[in-house]
This record gives sequence, structure tokens and C-alpha cells, in this order.
Amino acid sequence: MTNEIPDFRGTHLWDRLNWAHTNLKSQQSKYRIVYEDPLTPDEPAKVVVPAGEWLACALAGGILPPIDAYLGMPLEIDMEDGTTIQCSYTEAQDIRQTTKIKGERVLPHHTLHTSTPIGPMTEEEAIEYLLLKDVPKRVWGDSRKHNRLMFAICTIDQLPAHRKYRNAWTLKQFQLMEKAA
Amino acid sequence: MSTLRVTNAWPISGISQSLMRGMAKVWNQFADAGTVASNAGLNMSSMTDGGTGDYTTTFTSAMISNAAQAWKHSVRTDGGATISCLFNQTSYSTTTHRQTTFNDAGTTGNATIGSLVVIGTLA
Repeated sequence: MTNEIPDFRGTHLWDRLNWAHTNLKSQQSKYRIVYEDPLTPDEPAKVVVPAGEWLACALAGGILPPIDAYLGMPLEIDMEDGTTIQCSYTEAQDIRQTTKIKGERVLPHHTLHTSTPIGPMTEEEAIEYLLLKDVPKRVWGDSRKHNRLMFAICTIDQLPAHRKYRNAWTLKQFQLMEKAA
Repeated sequence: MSTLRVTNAWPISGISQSLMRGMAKVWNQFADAGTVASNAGLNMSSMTDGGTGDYTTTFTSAMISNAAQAWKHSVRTDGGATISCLFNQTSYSTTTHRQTTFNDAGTTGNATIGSLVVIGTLA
């Protein structure tokens, strides 16, 4: 396996990932993102697990687009009432949860493939990138104020080792309360 | 009779496999012990463990629409059955796919091993 990253500027993102699949060794992260979704308060805490091949791309650099390419990705959504709206990737996260939709499309002026790939990240930077990309903005953004901890980045050994009572998992609030005291 | 052996297949014109039809654009094999983890995959950035039998795969390179894609689920649950289906009508988007697994009793069950394959057109 080679670790020399080709110049991927202008290359379709999927082709870069396909190259990485063959040429980079999968990297398992010690971190997990745990969050509670304010729009589904009855659901248990969710745990985001980075994919090993994605983390390898993040650590290698030169493959993934800047996070803005995702956050600003333009979408067109067909609503159930027959109307069509245009919105961003982060806005669509809320629309899908709060409104019935019939379909969605990525608009052609997105920049996933045309943005200059970003350089290598540390594992911690990669997890922050993943938080912004794969966790809804309503969890980590400033636009909604929460009176409790909504997400945490932790290590594997801080999570239960078994799945008994999995649907009762919630975020412990003790750390936040200690900081406030 | 001839034998055709290749290490890569490319379209007649252009150099991008991303444009080839019929290829899996996302695949993910995962196992669930403690929290879920992907054993291997392509074009996925993370898996989200949403509770018992609740798994969401998030893509790195988006699909062009949620209509231009098809899926294949395979799963074995801790209850022995092999049923996996979409979580609800909004479970599939251009960047995510949420699937739920059930055991013999008809309740959600953790997947001892499972997979997802997405075929369709990329953005």
C-alpha cells in the first residue's frame, strides 16, 4: 500500500474515496460522538462511530473536501404539499425531521468535487469535522439554546461495553453541572 | 474460449468510475457489540447507533437524489431472524440511510452482523 496522495484537485470525490479504499489502511478511531436530538427527545442517545476508511482519508489529507462544501451543499426538496424549496445541507437536516417530504436532490452547483481537498488532520480535528458533518446542526449549532448537554466526544472505554438497556442510554449531565457550579 | 482478467474496469470514455452505472456507490458491513462499528465499507463517513436495531450510515460523497438509488440490506440479529428495513419513509436521503433490524419476536434486535449496499447515481 502506498501513502503518497495524488493531486486530486478536480477529481470526483467518489473516485478519491475509491482510490483510498485500495491504497490507504483503515484507521479505527478511539473516539465516539454521543448526542441527543432535541427534535426526538424520546429516542435514546445516539452514538456516531467514525468509519475506518474515512478516518484514513482524513489523516492522510488531500482527499476530503473542506467542511464548508458539506454545510453549504445546496439541495432542492419536494414537499408533500407539492411545493419545492431550496435549502442547504444543514437546513435540510431540520426539514426532514419536521416536515413530510416527497424527495430531495443535490443541486449541480455544489462544491464537493471542485473544492481543493484539505490537508491532513489530527484524529481530534477529524472528529470535530465529523461532528459538523454527520451530527445535525440543531445539536451543536448556536441557533438553538439548550439548558443541558446535547453532545459529548468521548473514548470507547467511556461507553458501556454491552447493549443491555441500549434504548435507555442518555447523556450524563454531571460534568456540565460541575462546570456551572 | 478466452479468459478475461482485469484489475480495474473503466468506462469507454472518461476516466471516472463514479459515473459507471450499476456499481455499488456505497457499501458498509457492520457488527454490533457494545456500540456498532463498521468492519469495512466504501463512501461512508460514519455509522450512527441510534438504539436497539437502529443504524444510520452517512455517506461521504452524496447521491444525486433520494429517488435515484436502490438498496440492499442483509442482517443477522441477536434474536436469530434476518429482517432489516427502512426506519420510515424519510429514512433515505442524499447523504444518509437509516435501517432498522428486527428479531423473531418482531421487536427491534441488535445486528450481530449486517450490511448495506446502495446503488444509484452520485451527485
